[in-house]
Parts: sequence; C-alpha cells; structure tokens
Amino acid sequence: MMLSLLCLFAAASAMIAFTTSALVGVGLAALRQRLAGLTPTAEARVLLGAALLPMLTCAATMAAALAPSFGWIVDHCVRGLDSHAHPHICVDHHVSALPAPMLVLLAGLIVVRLAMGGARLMHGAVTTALTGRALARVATTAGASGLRVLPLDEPQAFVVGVLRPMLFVTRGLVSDAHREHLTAVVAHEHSHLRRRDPLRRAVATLALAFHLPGLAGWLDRRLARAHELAADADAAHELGSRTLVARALVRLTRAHLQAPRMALAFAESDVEARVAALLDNRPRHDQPHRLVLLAGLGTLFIVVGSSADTVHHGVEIVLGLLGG
Amino acid sequence: MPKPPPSLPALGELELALLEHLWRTGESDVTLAHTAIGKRRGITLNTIGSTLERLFKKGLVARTKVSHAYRYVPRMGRDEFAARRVLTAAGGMQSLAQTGLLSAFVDLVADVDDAALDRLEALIADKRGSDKRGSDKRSSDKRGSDKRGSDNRSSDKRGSDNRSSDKRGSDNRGLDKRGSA
Repeated sequence: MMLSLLCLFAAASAMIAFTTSALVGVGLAALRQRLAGLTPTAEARVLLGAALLPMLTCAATMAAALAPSFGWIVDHCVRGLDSHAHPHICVDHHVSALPAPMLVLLAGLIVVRLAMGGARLMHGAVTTALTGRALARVATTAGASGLRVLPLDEPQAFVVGVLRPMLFVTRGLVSDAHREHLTAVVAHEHSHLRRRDPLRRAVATLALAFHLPGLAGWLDRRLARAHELAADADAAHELGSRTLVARALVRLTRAHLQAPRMALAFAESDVEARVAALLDNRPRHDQPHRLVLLAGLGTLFIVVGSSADTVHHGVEIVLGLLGG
Repeated sequence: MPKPPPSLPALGELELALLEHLWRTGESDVTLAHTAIGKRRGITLNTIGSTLERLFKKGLVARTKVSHAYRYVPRMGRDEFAARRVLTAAGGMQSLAQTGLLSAFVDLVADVDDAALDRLEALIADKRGSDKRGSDKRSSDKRGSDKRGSDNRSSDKRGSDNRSSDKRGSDNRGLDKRGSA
C-alpha cells in the first residue's frame, strides 16, 4: 500500500513539476527581450527564481494535496462527494493496486532525476570541500592581502567550495607579468564570495531536477553566465572601470589558451559575451527586487494552502486522467 | 623548456621515489639515481633507466645528453606537483567547474581563438579611447565653465569695487550661476 501511495505521490510531483517547468520555459521565452534589459544581478535573480519555481510549486501543491493524510482537511471521498473513480493520494484509502504504467513512468522519471541531481550535488560538494582544504595546505599566503597563492604558473583565480568557499589565485597571476590584472580578478572573485554564488549554484543544481531535461540544461548555463556577468559588473563598479575588467579577461584568456590543455573545449565560450556586456553601458533595470520575488512565493503558498481541498481533489482527478 | 602537463598522469611508487630524488638533488643521471634509490631496493640500473624514461615521456622530467648519458631534471617543483596532484585527484579544474561549484575567472573551456581575442582587445581600446575623449571633453568643458566663472567672479569683484556699475555686477552673478550649473 505504502509503495503505491509513494508511487502516486512521485507521479503527482512529476506532473506538477514538469507542467510548471513548461510554463516557466514559455514565460522565459516570452520575456526574453525584458531579460536582456536587466542588470546581470537582476537577471541572475530572475533565473534563480525560475530554476526554483517548479520545486517550490511542487512542494506547496503536494503539501496541500496531502492535507487529508495529515488531518488538516477531511477528504472529499470520505464526505461522499465523489465516485472514487480516480487514484487516491491519502492514507485513509487503503490502496494496494500498482498505479497505471503512465504514472509509474512519471514517478520513475522524477525519482531518477532527483537521485542524479542529489548525487551530483553531494559528490560536487564533498569533492570541492576536500579539494579546497587540500589546496589550502599547499598554498602560501601573500603578504598583507591574505590571498591564498597556489604554486602554479598559469594565471588563474577561482573560488571553490559551497558552504565555506575559498578564493585561490595562482603564482602566475601574482607575477609581474599579470600583476596589473590582479585587482580586477580579485574584485570579481570577491563578488562571487559576497553573493554566495557557489551556494546558489548548489541549490539550483537540486532544483533543476524538477525541470524538463532540456530546459534544465539551458537554465543551468544561463545562470552560470549570469553569475559571471554579475561578478564582472560588481568588479567594474568597485574599480570604477569596465574596460579594466574586460582587458583583464581578454589578456588572461589569451594566456590561458597558450598554456597546455588536457581536454578539448566543447562548450561555447562566454568570453565574448562577458566582454560585450562590460563594454555595453546602456542603462539597465535592477528589477524585480528580491522582496517582490519572495512576496510572489509567499502568495503562491497562501493561495495553494487556502485551497487545499480543491488542490487535493484536482491532483487526484488529473492523476486519474493520466492513468487512463 | 616546455611546460609540464596541467593534470598529472598516474604515477607508480618508484616513479614518485625518483621524482623525490630529483627534487632533493636538483638533477641526476641514471647511475646516481640507481645508487640513491635502486641499490637499496635491489632494483637494476635498467629498471631505473626505463622508469626515468617513462617520467620523461609523461612530461614530468626534462633531460639533456651529457657525453653518452642523459641528465634528468624535474619540470616542476615539489609544491607545484602537490597542488596539481590535488586538482588531478578532484578530476581537474574543468571537471570541478562543470559541477558549478568551482568558478574560475578565466573560462576553463574557452573556445576562442587569437583572432577573436584580437578583435575584443581592439573593441576595448576603442571604448577606452571614446571614454577618454568623453572625459577630456567633460574636463575641458568644466575648465571652460570654471574659467568663465572665475572671469565672472573677477568682473563681479570689479563691479562691486566700482560702486558705479552695480548692474554689470548683477549680470555677472547671473553668468556665474550658469557657469556653476
């Protein structure tokens, strides 16, 4: 019985998550022009909201749909208002039959995607934490700046870790050849630390498991790019020069390309997009504010929570339709 | 000297011992390495020679021929080796970047060529030029307005000194106001 109920629960979650994801995809396509007019920080905020929406909608809807199981509302079936011609996601109904194949497929899809997303997140978080600690042991601290300098000749700087991310720069970057770019690079990386971008990416990694596969990949790439553009913009603002950051980016990319590389590049480069964004100083909107997004989320939970009976019934009816 | 590989290849225990020997001594030939490492372990001169050859092929040591024998030097220091070993154990920086939990300033999978970078540098130079021209123009405008303002102030002073020309003084105060705006 429990397995059947869990299967129905997962199928309902998949149905809600993938429907919301499709709506998010349509919404983002319709708002493409508006997104282009936002500051990178606002774009990153909107994209993170879009990444989280299916997961949060799923959480709100499933909490409401399971309300009879927790005794928050009385099931409409118990009240005799329904002909029981649909699956039941309620412990009051002792369901033992396996759900329809379509529902099992949906349940399997979301469970596999969640397991993969969770495993990827856990593996990444553990690996980066261990790597950060191990690198901190081989790094030296540079004078007054307190920067952790790695004994590597290629000019590079990076932030690694999720909960307590660490910033590393390489010996090549602090050398005389690239010293002029150091300020811009460090300002960029400090922005990642300040904005907690690694944590945002980690949360997004899990939330993207609730999206349709193609859209999840697209959102992940756009979010990564938006975080880089936002850090570039922050660095430019801090230094008072957009061209300084753009020049550091181009020069260090050139140095990086000249260094030996183990793998061929398959991804599209963001360098051109980042430089173009830095050189484009048209006024952009910093909307919607974070509070507006949080208010929207609160409204979603209130609306869904206050109509738990309808949501519960609706979810069961749609499951019945999908199951044939 | 060519640069060492960014990710380390897998290394055996004898290879690591030979690298350690090279870091300690700075450079070594096969005979010296055999005396230091091989004899203690009961390993033949040929095994030491072939292991050093493997390290050369893996890009971790460089060699020069002196007389009839090769002299080997490490291509990276012990500290650099340790740092690369950590990154290699984590799957490499590219792999970490792909998880989204490592963000590097320079795009680790940048697929741009020198021509594209040249074009970007030219765009940046243009932008710097236009920004500089804009700022020069602004400062020259400011200097002009300051100059007008100071001229006006001095004529204002003249006006106030010359009690007979109050009107001119008040006109100049008006100009002064425009100049400061």
